[in-house]
Amino acid sequence: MAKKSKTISARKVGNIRLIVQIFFFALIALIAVNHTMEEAGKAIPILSSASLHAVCPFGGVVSVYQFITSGTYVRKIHSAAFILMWIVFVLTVFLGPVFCGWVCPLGSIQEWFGKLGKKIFKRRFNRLIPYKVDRVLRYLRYLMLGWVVYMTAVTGTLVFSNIDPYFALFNFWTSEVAIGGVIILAVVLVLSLIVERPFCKYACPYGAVLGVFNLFRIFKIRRQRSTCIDCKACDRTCPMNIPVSTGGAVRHHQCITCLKCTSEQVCPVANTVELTTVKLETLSKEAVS
Amino acid sequence: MTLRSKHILPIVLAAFLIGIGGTIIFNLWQTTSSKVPAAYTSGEFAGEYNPGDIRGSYSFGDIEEAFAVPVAGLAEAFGVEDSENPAAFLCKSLEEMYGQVGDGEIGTDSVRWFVALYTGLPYTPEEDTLLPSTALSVLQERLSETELEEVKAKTVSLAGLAAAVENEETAKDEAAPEAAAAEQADTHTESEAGEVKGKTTFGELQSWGVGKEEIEEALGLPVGKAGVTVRDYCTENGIEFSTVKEALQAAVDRAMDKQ
Repeated sequence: MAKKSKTISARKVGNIRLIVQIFFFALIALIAVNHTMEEAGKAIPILSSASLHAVCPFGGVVSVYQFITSGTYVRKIHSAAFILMWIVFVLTVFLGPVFCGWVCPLGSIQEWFGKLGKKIFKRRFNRLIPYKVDRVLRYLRYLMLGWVVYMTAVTGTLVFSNIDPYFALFNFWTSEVAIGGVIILAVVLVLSLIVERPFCKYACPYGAVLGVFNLFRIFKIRRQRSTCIDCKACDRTCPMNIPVSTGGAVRHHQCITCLKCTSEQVCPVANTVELTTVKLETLSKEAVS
Repeated sequence: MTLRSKHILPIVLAAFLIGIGGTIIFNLWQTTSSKVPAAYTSGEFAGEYNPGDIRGSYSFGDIEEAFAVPVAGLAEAFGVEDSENPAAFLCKSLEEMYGQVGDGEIGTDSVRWFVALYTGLPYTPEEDTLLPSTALSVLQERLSETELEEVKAKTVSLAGLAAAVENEETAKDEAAPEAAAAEQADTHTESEAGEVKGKTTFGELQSWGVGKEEIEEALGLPVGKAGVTVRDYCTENGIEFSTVKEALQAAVDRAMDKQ
């Protein structure tokens, strides 16, 4: 009975994140559609009709070099992208890459495709790539980040937009989208049926930037060794395949703060895996005293 | 301090609302570039807006505001008078509507040229820029016979154009999807690599192997920042892009031959 009520409450908690993901997905989709409608002179009032480049915080990241050297933004990037970049950086300093796990529409759609993949592949889903290969592939996104930042600095144009699946997702109906982006989007969605969040894991340059914050974020996913029953439920549920059960705090560069591993969701023992600022052992001692 | 999902929701929403709302209040939030074109810096027209700085994102309404060219005239000239809201029509949409026509192109540069002809401001269009023939009737009273004849040589009939576009679309529909994809990829490569256009940046020139000295020689000015387009740089420095385009293209061709 207690286990059943824990499952229900965990599902409710998981729905909070789903609601946020749907909200941001719908918001960006509406803005993208409104941008197209504005060009046809039929924009919906109140709702923003900004181009997708203007509302993507990664646009701010790739503009940093040009902004520092010449005080201008890369073409198609405006102050809004810079502001969003700072908002996300502040959130990430505190909570880690919460943007990836809760906000990014490309991450959300991969996750939703993954739910279908789970039904098809059952337990093999997200476990098909050998660990050794997977571990190396995960550093590809840093290469991607280096290439994008360097090429944008050299050419002063948004080189990534030609292969950006996020741009393709919300612009596939316009002539602005490059065929490369559409192909990559299709590949990412197909791979999402086999691997959880493949683009986030292996190719996302923005995820690479935010992932670094996991090393020094203020709120960390922490595990209390003394109460942990070593059931590995946290490891199995982690979409990014992080071995949560092997340490005291998660500092893995791919954590996306989805909170699936915590005691409010999958961990069966209360106060054992939590998003917190202090070691859980310290909290327990304080509670006892 | 421990946080749960129920805390993350308001934190994330509040961060975006406060961050965006705050910057809107202080007028820092910009999602589009300003629709105020650069002005001529020297000569007879110093201080007047330069049609050479009209961007693809400018609507006909923006152009009317900056250059006092009526939206109705622009709509008639470019064959969009049937559009529901011609004032909101964007210059870049012409590239979708007409784009490449034979060896030439109807696009944003056509609007720049039209505005220059309408207002009498100096502007040299790119060599392949064309105007729809409907522009002639709008310009008739503003140009001399000789000028009209010169412009006429670079116009295309919209009726003929519609037929050409229709034929092209039919041919594309009949072609295999692979061929269409290959064609699109080819077109993309051609317009991106090695072709000097108004939107080409100094960074792109250098990535194509053109040295700084060669660029400076062609421009007669120091090299601009990597992210700045050559056209914008020329406009800022009061020179016509078309006067340096050929020399830059030659430098690019030489550099690409070496590679």
